[in-house]
Amino acid sequence: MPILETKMSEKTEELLRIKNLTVMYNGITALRSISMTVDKGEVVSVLGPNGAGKTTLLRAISGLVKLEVGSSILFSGKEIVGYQPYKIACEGIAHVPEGRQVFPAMSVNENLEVATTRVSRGLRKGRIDSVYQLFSELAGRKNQQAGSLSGGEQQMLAIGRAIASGSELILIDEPSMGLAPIIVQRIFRTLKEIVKETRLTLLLVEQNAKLSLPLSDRIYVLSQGSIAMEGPVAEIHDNQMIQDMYFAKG
Amino acid sequence: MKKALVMLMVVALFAGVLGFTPVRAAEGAIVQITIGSTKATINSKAVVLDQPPLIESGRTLVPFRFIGEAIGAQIGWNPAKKSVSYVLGNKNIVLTIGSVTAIVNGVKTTLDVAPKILPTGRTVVPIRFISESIGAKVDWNATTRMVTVTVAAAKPSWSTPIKIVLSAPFTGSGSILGTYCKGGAQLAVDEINAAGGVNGAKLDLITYDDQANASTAATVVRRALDSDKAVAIFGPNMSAAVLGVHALAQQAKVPMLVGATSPSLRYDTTHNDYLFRLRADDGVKVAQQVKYIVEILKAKKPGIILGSDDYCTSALAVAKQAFEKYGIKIVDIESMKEGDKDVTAQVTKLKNAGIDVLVGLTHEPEAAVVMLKVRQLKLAVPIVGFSAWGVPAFTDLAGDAAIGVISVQGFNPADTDPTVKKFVDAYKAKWGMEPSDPAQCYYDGVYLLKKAIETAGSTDPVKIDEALKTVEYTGVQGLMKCDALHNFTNICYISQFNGKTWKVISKIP
Amino acid sequence: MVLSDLLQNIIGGVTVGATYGLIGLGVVFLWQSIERINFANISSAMLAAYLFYTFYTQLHLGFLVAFVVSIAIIAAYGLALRHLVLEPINRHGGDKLEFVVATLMLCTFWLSVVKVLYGGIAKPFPPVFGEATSFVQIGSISIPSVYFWIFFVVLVLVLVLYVLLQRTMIGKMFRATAQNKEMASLVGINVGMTTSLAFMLSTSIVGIAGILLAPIYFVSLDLGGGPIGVKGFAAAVMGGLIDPLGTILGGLSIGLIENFSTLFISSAYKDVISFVVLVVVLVWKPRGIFNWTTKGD
Repeated sequence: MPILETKMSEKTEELLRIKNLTVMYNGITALRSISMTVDKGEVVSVLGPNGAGKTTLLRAISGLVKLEVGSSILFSGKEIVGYQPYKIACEGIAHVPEGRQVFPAMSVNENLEVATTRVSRGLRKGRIDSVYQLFSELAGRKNQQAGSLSGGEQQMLAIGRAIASGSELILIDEPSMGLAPIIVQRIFRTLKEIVKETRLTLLLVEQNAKLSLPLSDRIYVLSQGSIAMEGPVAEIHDNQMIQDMYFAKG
Repeated sequence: MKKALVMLMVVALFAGVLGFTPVRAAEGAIVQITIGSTKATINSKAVVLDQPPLIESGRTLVPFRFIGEAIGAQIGWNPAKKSVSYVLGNKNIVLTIGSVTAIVNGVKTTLDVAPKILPTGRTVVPIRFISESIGAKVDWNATTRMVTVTVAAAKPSWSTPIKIVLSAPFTGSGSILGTYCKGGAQLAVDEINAAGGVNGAKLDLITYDDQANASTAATVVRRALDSDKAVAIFGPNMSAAVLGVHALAQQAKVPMLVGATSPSLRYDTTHNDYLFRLRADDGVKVAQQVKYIVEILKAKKPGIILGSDDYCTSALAVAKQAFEKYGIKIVDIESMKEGDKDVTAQVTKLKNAGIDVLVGLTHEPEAAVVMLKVRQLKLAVPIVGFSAWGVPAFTDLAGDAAIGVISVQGFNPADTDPTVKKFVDAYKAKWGMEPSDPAQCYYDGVYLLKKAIETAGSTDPVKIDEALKTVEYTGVQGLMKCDALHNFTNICYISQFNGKTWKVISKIP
Repeated sequence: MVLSDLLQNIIGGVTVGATYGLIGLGVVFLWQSIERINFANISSAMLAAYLFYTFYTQLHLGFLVAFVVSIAIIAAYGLALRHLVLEPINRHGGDKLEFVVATLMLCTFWLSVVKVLYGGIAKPFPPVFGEATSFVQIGSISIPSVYFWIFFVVLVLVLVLYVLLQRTMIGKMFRATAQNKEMASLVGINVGMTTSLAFMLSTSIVGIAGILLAPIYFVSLDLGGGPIGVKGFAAAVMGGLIDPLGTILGGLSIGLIENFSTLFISSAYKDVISFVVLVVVLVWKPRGIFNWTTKGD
């Protein structure tokens, strides 16, 4: 029974549905009529060159940018356009922004604590401990100021914060940026682990497709604010353009 | 918007601070025009006419609005009757376009030339008729073809109310003082008016808030001189404000009678013949304070607690001199700043210096801070404070800690002298509160002014000023007579606080 | 100089110093929460003292009612500060500097308002913390009873603040908001709410301080600016703008420096010496010398 049926039920459980999402910045269209979906338990990667609007897309979902009339974002079937960012976070969307953005003058543990506002009081400690299990590097630095961590550790903390929050959907923006390859690999290893074990839903923006594609179920390619291509990884991986753009050697 | 917000703040900040700058056409002006030229002068300031003056039938015609404004008249225009009116003081002129009939103060008069509307649309009127009807002098220079109109400053007529202005602080740091200044002055004015006024004329007291601030005081005094035409100005009451404005009174030749007490306002410093002082100055008070300390208390080792502003430091200068004259050395001077709330160290040092009297030269709140510390640290010597140590603003704050403090005062309502008692009773009856320094000095001041006006037989400020220098008057503060320093009195009291009132120890002189 | 003199001066310096620290706490709280410096911080002390004076002395409302109503008004004033000063500035692209300028103006504004409404003469504060002339004698040392109140309230406030900021979720949310507003909202913190609370708490702390200090400062304009405002701010800076305990210690050291420079050098140079020390400390340790909350960079 199992395999086919599970797949069927997953398909029907749509977590995020974006329709006709348009963002203007100073008269320039940053995102034009984007429509996309993310299903529960899916890992979706967004690819595209610099300036294609990937970060804006994540910020739009989190409520950080103003959307044009007609834009719609349904999260678990609920329209969240117009919600304040903290409300969207409370609905269950965590955002790991570009550049980590840890709270520098707070300890590692406090950084994780403040991310657990939507978790009921009794479960908070358990969630935080699960982060320390995933990232043992952080476990030894619980009381260290987050600002004094290395870049890799800060990225782990930022992802840890999203995990601690118990959100259903995590938006991750360029987690490899500015980090040494060995650290990046370490982080993606853990991400993979998380995805495998928790069936967490990820919407991942990552320049390095070599890292992100193995993790992903489906891909959207953004170009100049529009979706240029979409499909399951298996199909799109062989596409010549994708090959040229992201896997070309030299 | 950022700027707007800041502007809003600034406006809010200064709304209460800024007064007014009356921009009035000259009262007492010289107006010069030249036939055929649009250039004219008012008080030697160049102005440009929209229509050059012209001559018709030997009479000079000028634009009606220009001449009215130049001589400071109120101008009226009645389009239905086509009539122009001018009002200046008690003079009233009505002219009608195209008519040689004019009405001056309700009486019909005939003109040589009628006012007319020129083809340019400008209305012109005969300058000589208007000027002379209003009481101005008109001169014609045939060579330069120039007309000069001289308007003399309106002099208050003997029958109109005699205007006097009081400038005192009602908001700002000295607000309670303003209440006393006005209380004293108004009481005297009302008493005088009830008794028939000054030679039949009523006194009219106009009071302005100078906020104990030199620049506001300047605005107030200018207004008193320019638009109120006061025959005398009382106040400002704060020395710094007086320093800023007394020259204005001197220029305008209007006497200024103040209750400010800084020694720097003495005549030998200001050389201002129009500035008078209505109560004992601080130099006199400090000298009396020292005299009491040395001659009565027989103290040998005085210590001083000193505030930081001019009031305190100029008192110190006098005190030093006075002690020196007696051959007594001040054993310790400890300073504090206005606003200081802990003087443990200062009082400790004074105590350890072995002083046998503490001389307080500070303002009221600091006096209270010092006394609380003196009681806490049990500095058991006589305390003799300067004038700020002898007022309710100090005793209210210090409470029981003020008991036993001796102070030099300009006024003591507990004085049993019948004149003082009568004043205190009248003040209480009128205002429902006990008078405090400086109420008595403005009360005396108004009576002094009355006497000066009667002596001068005129409300001309210059004549009043002359009279002020010679009149004698016995008031609440005893005999008031202008001395070489332009001080009317040197009276002061040495009193001791008993927890409720100040008991007079001695009255000087 | 005997020992009791020295002790007496330590007590005087510590008390006045504690008052500086107390005022500094208001600065610290706002900085901790929204990284803004309210230069009208001290105004809350003056406003609370005058409000209490009005309710207690003039309207005879009773201590508790007068106290609670005064502090409630001050808290509401804090909320108004946010909506009428901070938000308009933010909306129009202003930042820290604009807030500083606006609050500097506000400080003068309140002084003018109180001057107009109550006049400039200091008023005695009702003896709700004991008569001004009641002293507790310990050996040869005499301590005004109001000093004990000041010590007690300072202690309680520091403890409460420390626990609030360091140990409670809401305190951590405050700090997160201060450090990165956008990120705070992304982790689900209602930044609007924490900002409002921060303003209300900041003005209330200073308001409580104002009522407490009125027996020493009187109900006077001295509570709304001048030395206490500057030194309260200095105390906060010595605590690195974030450490409540450090702020109180900063205040205490300023109070002690003032007293000892008067005692051993000269009263005429008291302010000069304490400000020179302050400037030296700031140059030497710009993050504050009593700051255990942030270490390193």
